[in-house]
Amino acid sequence: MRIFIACLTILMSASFAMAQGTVIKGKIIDQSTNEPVAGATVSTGPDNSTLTNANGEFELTVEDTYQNITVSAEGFGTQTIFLGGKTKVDVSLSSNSFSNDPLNVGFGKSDKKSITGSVSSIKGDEGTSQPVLNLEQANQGKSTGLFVQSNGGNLGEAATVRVRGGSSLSNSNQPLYVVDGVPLASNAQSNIDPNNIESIEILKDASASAIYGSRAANGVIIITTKSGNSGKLKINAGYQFGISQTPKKLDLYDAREQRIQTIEGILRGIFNIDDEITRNKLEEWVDSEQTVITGLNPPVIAVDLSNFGYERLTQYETDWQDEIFRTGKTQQANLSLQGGGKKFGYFGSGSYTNQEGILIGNKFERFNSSLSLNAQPSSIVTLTGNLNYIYTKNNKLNENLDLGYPIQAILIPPTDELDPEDDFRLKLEPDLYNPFTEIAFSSNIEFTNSLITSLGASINLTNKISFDINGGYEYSSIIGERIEGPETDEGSGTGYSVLTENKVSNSVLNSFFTYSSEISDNQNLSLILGGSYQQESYTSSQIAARLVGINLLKELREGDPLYQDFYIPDGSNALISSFGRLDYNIASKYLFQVSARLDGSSKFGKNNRYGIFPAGSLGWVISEENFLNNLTFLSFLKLKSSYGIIGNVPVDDFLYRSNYFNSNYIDYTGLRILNYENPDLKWETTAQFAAGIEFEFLERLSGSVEYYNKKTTDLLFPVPVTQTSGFGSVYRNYGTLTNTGIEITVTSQNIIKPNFQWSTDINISSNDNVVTDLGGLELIVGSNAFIEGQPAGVFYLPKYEGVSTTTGRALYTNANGIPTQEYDEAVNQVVGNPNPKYFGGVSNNLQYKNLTLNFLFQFVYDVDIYFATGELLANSGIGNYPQLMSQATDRWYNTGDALYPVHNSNANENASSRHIYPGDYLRLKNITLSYNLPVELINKMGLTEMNVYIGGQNLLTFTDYIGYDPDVNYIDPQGGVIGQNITRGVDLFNAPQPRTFIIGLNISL
Amino acid sequence: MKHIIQNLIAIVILFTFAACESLLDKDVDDVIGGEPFTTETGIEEALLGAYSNLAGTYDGFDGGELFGGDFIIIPSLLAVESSLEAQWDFQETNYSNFLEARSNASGGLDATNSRISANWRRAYETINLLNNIIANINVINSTENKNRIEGEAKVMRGLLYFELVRLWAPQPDESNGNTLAIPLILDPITSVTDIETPVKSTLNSIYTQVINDLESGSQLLKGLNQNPGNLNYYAAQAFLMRVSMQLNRPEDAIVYADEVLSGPYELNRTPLDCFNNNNFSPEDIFGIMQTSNANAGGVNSGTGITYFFSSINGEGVGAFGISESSQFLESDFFDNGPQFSDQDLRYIVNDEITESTSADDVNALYTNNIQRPIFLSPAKYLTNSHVIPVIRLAEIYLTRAEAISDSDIFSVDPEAIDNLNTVRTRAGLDALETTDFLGSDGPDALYDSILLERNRELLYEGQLFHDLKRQNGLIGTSDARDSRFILPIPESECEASPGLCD
Repeated sequence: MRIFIACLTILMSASFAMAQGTVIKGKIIDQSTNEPVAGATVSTGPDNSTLTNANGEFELTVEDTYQNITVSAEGFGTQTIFLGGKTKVDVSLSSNSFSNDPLNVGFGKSDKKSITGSVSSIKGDEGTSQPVLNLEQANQGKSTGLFVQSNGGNLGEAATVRVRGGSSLSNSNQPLYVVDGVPLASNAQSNIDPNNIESIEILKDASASAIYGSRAANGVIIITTKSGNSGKLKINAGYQFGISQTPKKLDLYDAREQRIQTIEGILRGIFNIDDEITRNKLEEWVDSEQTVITGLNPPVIAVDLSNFGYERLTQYETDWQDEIFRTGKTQQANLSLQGGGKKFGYFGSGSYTNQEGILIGNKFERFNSSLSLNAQPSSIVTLTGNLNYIYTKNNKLNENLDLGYPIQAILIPPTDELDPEDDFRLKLEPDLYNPFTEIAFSSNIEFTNSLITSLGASINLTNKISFDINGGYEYSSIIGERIEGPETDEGSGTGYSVLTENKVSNSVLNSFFTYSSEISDNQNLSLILGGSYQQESYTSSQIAARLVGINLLKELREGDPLYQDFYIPDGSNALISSFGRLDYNIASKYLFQVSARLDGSSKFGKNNRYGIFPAGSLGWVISEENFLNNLTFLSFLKLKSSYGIIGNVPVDDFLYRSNYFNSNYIDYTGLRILNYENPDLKWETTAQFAAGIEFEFLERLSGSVEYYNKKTTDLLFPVPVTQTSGFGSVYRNYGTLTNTGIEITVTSQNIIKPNFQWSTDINISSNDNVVTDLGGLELIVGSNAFIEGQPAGVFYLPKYEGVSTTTGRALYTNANGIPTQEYDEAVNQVVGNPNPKYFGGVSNNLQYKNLTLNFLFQFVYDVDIYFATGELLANSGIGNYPQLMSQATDRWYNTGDALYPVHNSNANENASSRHIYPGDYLRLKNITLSYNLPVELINKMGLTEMNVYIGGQNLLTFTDYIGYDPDVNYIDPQGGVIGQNITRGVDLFNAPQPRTFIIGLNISL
Repeated sequence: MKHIIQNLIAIVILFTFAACESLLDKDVDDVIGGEPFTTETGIEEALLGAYSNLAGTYDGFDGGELFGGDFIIIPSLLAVESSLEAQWDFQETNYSNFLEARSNASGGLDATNSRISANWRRAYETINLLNNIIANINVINSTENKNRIEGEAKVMRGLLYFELVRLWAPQPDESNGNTLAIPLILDPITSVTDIETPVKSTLNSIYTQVINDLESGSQLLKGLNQNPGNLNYYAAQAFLMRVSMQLNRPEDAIVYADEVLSGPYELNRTPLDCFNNNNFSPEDIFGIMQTSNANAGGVNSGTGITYFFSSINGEGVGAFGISESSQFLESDFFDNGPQFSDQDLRYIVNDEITESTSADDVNALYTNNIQRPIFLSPAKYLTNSHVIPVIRLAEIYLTRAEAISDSDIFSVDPEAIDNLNTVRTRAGLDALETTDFLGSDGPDALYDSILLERNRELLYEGQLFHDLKRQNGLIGTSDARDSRFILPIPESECEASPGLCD
């Protein structure tokens, strides 16, 4: 290694000697102390660098004064500066652990140190050596206040995201995503290539997000994609290969256990022999391989099992999980170009991804391309343009509850056979639908085309005033083509084809003035004032016919006897806004901010069309005070607090007015009522108070602690009304809920040595959600409920009380609080909470010479999961469904205590708290080991950088959860917004997140 | 520069506020906002929307199918005497609940049954459309159009209240006219602020409304040209006949029946021709025409009468099964059974259908049940693109016979036998003679023959249950008028409407 370093040094000096051009000079100072920084590295690339002297001064010869120089020093963050033709450059470095990079806070940037609201940021490059995931999942565990939950492990599946807890029942709880200034109307953010992302900022409190007004109640996530710089052309290329597997198989019973239960079922059910049954005897009988059971007490002397088809159970043995799970291969290749000249910059990229899911039949392809251009046609004008295009093709699986979804194969007994010859029909259970039939004879492909573009101009009108105007356009189309062959259940006989189209288009125009001025020596003021107009429209259609082929379906016309057309209402809405933000600080010590947005939304009637969403915040940088000067170990300390009001709008566009839709009778067009006029509907409003402290010790350890309290009032609630109105409920602004929480971040530079650096980031969040007032109403959807005084979506089911020692039946609490084995008498009660109390992540970054090791542990603690699959796998002997092995063997056989109920077809499979399990887990979410190849080696190849890495995802999970994966949340596609908001934390045939191993290569030239 | 800035600021402000209102007026093509009841087209379309409702056009699982399903399925299930007669073998427990109503053990009809609430809700949703049409009828200028639309709306409202009161309230008798039955909603609702907590009206007032609506609608429609399939004068008269029978007013029923018989309808050549038609048959006085794009559902939605009754592969799942082993169709073991004889054309069973049989291949009123081989399936609703008869001419003849027989219980009227024979001979049975009903038992025997013929002719068309109620018959061992057979007001309705269910 020493030789290598020596070589490198020689090489570098050689190249230094050879370099010709302009000498640039400058001085590097510490931003916080204004002291010179000695020993800082200043470079234009690996082959041209220098160190600063004791006075922080440097000289560096550059070929071109229109390029970037990079400045770095131990204990400080790296800074890249565009020379812009200058030959003298002074740089102030901020300390490493608490980098003061400006953050995008919406309509402008703000230094992290002077932000008084709650803003988290995730650097774009943090995600690049991960296997391809949707953007939300890629950032799971990376920020406080950002809870990301997987909706399932199938490819292309969306994720659930909550910023500081859900705030609504009937409206969306997902945050507002803003990509390059365009607030999105689709879910296109999920598929943005992480390689193209420069930064992600999460605006969490009212103060930070009020600038987005009526759509900010769930937080705002600002995504900035990469743009050109003014350096010379840099080409990056990467390739990644990965394999993924299921991290777990359920411990299902085997053929022998099924035979044991069959014998037990015959003896108990047909011969009423209960007293003589013990586990030992059952095992003896089954292992004897005799079909006649003898040695029983009179009156039954012997039982001939062959009379009950027992022998059929000895023909085949199939492990269905081995059949449905497979090893999936993933490939990704990307290429990007970045560069620019004196007055322009460009960034372009393309990437292609091809994934195979861990379940049979699941495939996903994605193509991303992006282009970003910026230009400075005059000294005062900057133009920027961004374009992101995403294409995906997803060979989807059926929905979890639709027949033919692969994981339903766990319900097929192990004694049956997989027989491709007979269209995969099952031999012993012909009434069960084999998912293999579905996979073999159906196809379900979803094509997505998304485009996000923006174009902007920034004009520096004076030194102090600039004007920005930018327009954005988003288009997204999702086309679903589903063909069910005649062999399938749904296509039975004729086949069935369905074509679904969903289109979203969205355009936005923003313009704003920025005024910033140093009023006096130590007072700074900046003011933003602007306006915005956005309109979104949605169209959906679905047609179907009992035939095979999408083209045949498309050729059908309305009126054809086969043609089916499903009504899905379109949508359209507009938002017109003006907004302002005033920042004022005295000596960077006392910070003040007020902001407000006035929103007018087409979603409300004349009475409630406009809403004002104001917020204010204060900060006090105590470390700037003289009285703390003595505390040298304390390098930064800030107190901050904010309060503001933000809003949330309904999902539906026209609730305020009465609406009708067309419904045919014979060939005539008729009108039916969609909803009644609801003139008084208004925004849900969320008032949020937040307070926090940010600190930094010895420039090594920094962090923050924040507290928040969000109170949402005027909750849009479907209040039941008499059905003689034609409807079961109407929306009213009704009810309140609160979220309170604490968020802690710690960043530590554990080791900073020239050859070895180790840093650790820790983030922990807690959130408590309570529905504080519903005026006595409640709403129950499946296993979950929205009840006053309880967290949103608590599990509301009969309480399981174990097993009766005398009958072996399952016991449930009845209305008097007494255990009963009659399920009908059991009463529903709150038996669990699907909202996690704590979640977070710990990431470590270790760098030794050219080797870098990154790993992220992510955890969720104090949360419940309803293992609904377990209802079907319950130990009851119903329908011959398989069972979990542990529950099959540890059941009740004879008088006495037992863990699980007796083999009994009487309703042991009922929904109850029996299937609620703690969902706590700690997971090694990502690990990557990468190696930067030595410069002299790659230079010979004409490259400037080459990096190889191996890594993995979800390699380890520590959990007691019984199902496949504790990171689970079944989303019922039929559930509607309310159903999906309430039924949280349900595991119903959900596929696990795959365990993935990757190997990859990045090169730059 | 200052000037430019001022201009730009002015533009921003202008752009934010001045043009606001019009920028916020958004619309889409397939959601119709505002008030359609202010134009003739709107009112006409609302009436067609009401027909679409009445036909049970599929609109999700909480959509009641009314005449496209549940108004036939529910009474058919309620009238099943025992599990020997028929069984419901499907996971849709909401329907098996109706089969269990007859037995004490099961706890009776369930107020949380989604079929009960879905049809309750949708019937009233339709009534509200009709109330809106009737309230705004003066928007229409042409007298003929006005009469036609108002007439059809009133007839349909009368028909719906009649179905609601028959299912959700006790059978009216001499003494219970003041019994509280169901809410009578006549005021239109267009805004959530119009919604009021309902109260029940008495049996008398509901039936009075039913008769008023049917009568006044009928008068408005008399002599008008209407679309085939719409409620016309004769349909109104036919429903008035049914109402009269339900109110035990046989003399009135005869008058209405005569009026219908004077109309343009004629019996189909055979009973088989009455079902599975793509168009209305000459016998249909009112029916629901289903098309592939406007129907009550099928295999893909899992709703509608075809889905549950038909056993044709790709059309239905044969959920309703008539027991083959108990020989319900021919045996005299069942009180309300049809006791078909072999020469009866209504007893043609095609027991050879297979997975590849299509509806067109079936020329029978019953088939084997391919999903459940030990059962038979009714074959009156084989696909969801066929007409569902709601009232047809054969019923008029049978009702007239019954009404005559009912109005003079001590004599055998040849006219009643004549009406009865019209239906019998069409079904391939011998005509009966006055001599078949001699002696003191004669009138009773005739009455019984008429009821038996009704059961044969109208089996699984949803009429038997209502007949048993008005005839004070038995379902199994239970009195058909027993409260266990009255659909409960949905629990969700009771919760949303304080006092309604007290």
